[in-house]
Amino acid sequence: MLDRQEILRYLEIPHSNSTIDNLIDRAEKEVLQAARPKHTSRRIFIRTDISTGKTLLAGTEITSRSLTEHLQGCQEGFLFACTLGPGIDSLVKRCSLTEPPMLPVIQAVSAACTEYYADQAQKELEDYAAEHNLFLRPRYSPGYGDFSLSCQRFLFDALDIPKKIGVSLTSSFLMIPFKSVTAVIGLSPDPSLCHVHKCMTCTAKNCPFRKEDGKNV
Amino acid sequence: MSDVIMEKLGKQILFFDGAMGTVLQEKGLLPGQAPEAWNLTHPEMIQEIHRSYLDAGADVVLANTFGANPFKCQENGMDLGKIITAGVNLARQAVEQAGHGAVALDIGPSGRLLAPLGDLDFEDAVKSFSLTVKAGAAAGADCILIETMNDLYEAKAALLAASENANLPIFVTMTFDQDGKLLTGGDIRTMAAVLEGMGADAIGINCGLGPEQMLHLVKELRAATTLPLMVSPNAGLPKERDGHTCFDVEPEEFASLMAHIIQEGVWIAGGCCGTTPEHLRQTVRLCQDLPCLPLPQSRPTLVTSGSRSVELGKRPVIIGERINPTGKSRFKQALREGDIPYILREGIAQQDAGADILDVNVGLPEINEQAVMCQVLTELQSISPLPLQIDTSDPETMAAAMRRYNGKPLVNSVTAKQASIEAIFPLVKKYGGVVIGLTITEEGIPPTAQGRVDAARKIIDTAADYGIPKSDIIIDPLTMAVSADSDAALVTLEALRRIQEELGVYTSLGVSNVSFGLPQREAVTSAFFLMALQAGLSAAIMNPLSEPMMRAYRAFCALSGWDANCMAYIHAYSQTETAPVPVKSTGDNYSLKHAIEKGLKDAAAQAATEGIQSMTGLDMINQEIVPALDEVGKRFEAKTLFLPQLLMSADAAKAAFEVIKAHMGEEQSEQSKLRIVIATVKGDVHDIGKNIVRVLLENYGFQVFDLGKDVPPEAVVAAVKKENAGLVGLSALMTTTVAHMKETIQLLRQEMPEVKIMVGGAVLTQEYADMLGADFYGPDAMASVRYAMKLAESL
Repeated sequence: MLDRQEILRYLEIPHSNSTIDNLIDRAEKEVLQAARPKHTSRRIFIRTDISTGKTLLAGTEITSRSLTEHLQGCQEGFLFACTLGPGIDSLVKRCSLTEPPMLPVIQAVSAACTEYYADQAQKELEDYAAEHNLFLRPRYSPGYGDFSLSCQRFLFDALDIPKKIGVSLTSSFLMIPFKSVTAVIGLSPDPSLCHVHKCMTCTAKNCPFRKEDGKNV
Repeated sequence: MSDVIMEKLGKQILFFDGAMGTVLQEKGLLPGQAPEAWNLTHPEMIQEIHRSYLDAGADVVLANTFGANPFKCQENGMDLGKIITAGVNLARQAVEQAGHGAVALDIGPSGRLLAPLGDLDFEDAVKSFSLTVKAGAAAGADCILIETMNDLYEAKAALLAASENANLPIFVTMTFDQDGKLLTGGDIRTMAAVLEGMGADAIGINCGLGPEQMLHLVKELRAATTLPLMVSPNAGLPKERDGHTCFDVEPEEFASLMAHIIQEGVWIAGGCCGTTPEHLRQTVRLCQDLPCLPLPQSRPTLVTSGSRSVELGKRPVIIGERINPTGKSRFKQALREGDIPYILREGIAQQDAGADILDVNVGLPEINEQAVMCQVLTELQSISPLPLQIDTSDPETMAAAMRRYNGKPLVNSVTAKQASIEAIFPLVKKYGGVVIGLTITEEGIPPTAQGRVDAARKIIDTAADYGIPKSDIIIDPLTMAVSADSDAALVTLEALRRIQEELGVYTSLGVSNVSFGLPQREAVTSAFFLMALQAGLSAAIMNPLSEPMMRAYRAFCALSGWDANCMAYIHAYSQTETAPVPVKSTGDNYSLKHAIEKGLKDAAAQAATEGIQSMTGLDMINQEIVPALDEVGKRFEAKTLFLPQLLMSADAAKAAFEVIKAHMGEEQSEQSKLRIVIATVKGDVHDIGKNIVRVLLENYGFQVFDLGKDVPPEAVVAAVKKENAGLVGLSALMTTTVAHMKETIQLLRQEMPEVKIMVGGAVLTQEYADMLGADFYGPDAMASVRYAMKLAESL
């Protein structure tokens, strides 16, 4: 059910072999067993001002040119958060003690698992969008472009994330459990703006994982 | 006023108020805004809400202080003391206007996750909650409610802060999902055991669910504790409507569901998100005359971690004894060198072999036992869900360990000697724990069963004087060597039977002592183990890696009805036709070099074991291991082999190294002169990459000092000085933490200009590394090894 190609891409392995396949099979089993996924979301009103690079999310002003561009044309959207839970952190730690070769594999599989689960959890938002003839923009997270990581604080308070899904924020705005995602998702009446691949909204142009039209660059 | 609360408790149902936050949101509080700020900006509105709950029949209103903790106040630019004082005062004024009621200081989660998983140290959490408690007590709160907690460890910190800084009744409620699990994975029985053990006045469930979903959880909780229960559900499960969260259980339905809940034995009722004064009014009207059902007389004996519990008196419990330096030179060496990973691996191996609880003993005269004990407990709890047994003869170490432990530990041990009782029982009373009582008196170990029964009785009776119930005591009637006294085993077994029958407590034994001084010890030990199990032994301290012992245990469980359909037995042995033999490598005829290149750990160890008969260790390293690692490194760089395989080879090399080391003795084993300190920089908690680099460096023969994650610059400098390191490796994953990397490098340059610095991590590039002033940028783990090798050559 997880995207094997994506896992291999995270591992920077262009073509697999039976050793790698076995490791991934095992990691998949362990990650799925350790994961206790949770998610939460909230529909919000959005106002963008492209001239100033400011966006209002549920009445709170966020200054970020890239977020504003990403949400341009959206009147509403969702705040979204999900996590695989603390079991993965524990699994990774255990693995670093007992079987270091599995570390990068567990890391890659749990990253793919996070994406998979976020996509699944997002389905209920898609249903809402479909009902209202709207379309979801890709998830846009603090840390992308100039959307400051410190805006995590706003998402955490507005979604009540620690209480709802048990994710907490460190003083440097990193999330624990580490396999967690927060994002703003715009709702747009215009589907043409919604086909941009996730990667293309990111300004890290040299990223080895960057995909254009679904392919690696 | 607090007396009024405790006096009414149990005589009449006590009603707490309903929601504050959701009511404020309806009155215009924006998402993300702090409700507590309204204590200063909208005091009349807060007071009016309190008043409406009091008018609806609340006995206790919660001051609007749920999120008033030092962290949130700092983020929102609020003064903690002012917010709390104002909050308590507003509630107090409402009570005075209404002419009845009491005020609770309301304490919610800090929003931060405690270490080791998170970045908030346990004692810092206690300190921060203490500030809230002191301010609330000074402002005149009548009781303290710690609520909506979803992490048992944090609840423990808050409860400690409350009991150490105020003399008020303390109620604790936590938030569970429909499966009865906390977000951090803990369950209801575990929560009950820990909070009751620590002396909460009432415990319960709030938020997350509506009254209907809570009903079965309340039943489970009632069976797990003798404490009064408190239940404050939401007005149903949250639903999203027009961008707002709504709750749709109407007041009348809520009240009738609350009546069901109260009839399960709940004494304190309230409401959480979505409830209104009308919900409370209806509930009070319907439930105020319901009787407070009597509290259960006894509770199960539960030993817990932060997430799970083990019950004594059911299937016999295995306490793994391997984390103990007694008679183990390798373990002693690990303790002296601070090799915590070695100790943790001992724990994992026992867990995988079937241990239910792990004993932790790190007593060695030349180390700081208290510090090491706390470190091992914390680290072990971050990788294993098993409850732990704290095993130390030093009361100070015991106190520090029990305070920091996440859960309700097994305490090893107390005796019937006065000094021991005075040292241990106050700790059990304060921090909670199930304590093992050894039947040792001032005169020593009684030679007869009667003597041991008497000693056990003294322990149990004295515990009662301290307020420790029998259910928190396990008696160990002591196993003595049968080689020294042929009646020794029989005396122990008789004492065991009588202590259970006459005193009604559970028992444990360290079974292996019985065979001391005899050949083929496991034969005697496992036979004695079976006899003890048959006599009713509740827990054994033993080696779960011993196959004869585990065979006896599994067979006993299958024969005694503790293994439904013999599934555990079948699972353990169906793969092995006959008796299991030690695992041998499947790779026959692999040369050491080939085994390492293929990444076959067992085959490498076997090849090394065979090779050491005909070659010297140094030759094996130089002719087999080093060339194999070199070859693998090259293939990795040529991208014909990938990181997991590179690590498998490194792991295989390590297995071979260990064989050679054991043969050559410490002093001759080849280790590079280059000592390396590595760390993930301050602010960053991602350490997978750093750990991979560590593993590789170690297996290429370097001595690596891993400082972990979120390491401040000063700690890096201190470690470089202490270890006399020639190279420092720094890792950072996030752009935001690269600033700390720069800071660390600057400090190193100032203090230790001669040390070389290499950097790596997802966001780094050569350009970035140059800008930071690093000597080397490692794009991947292998590159760091190559750089270290180059440096080592020049030494």
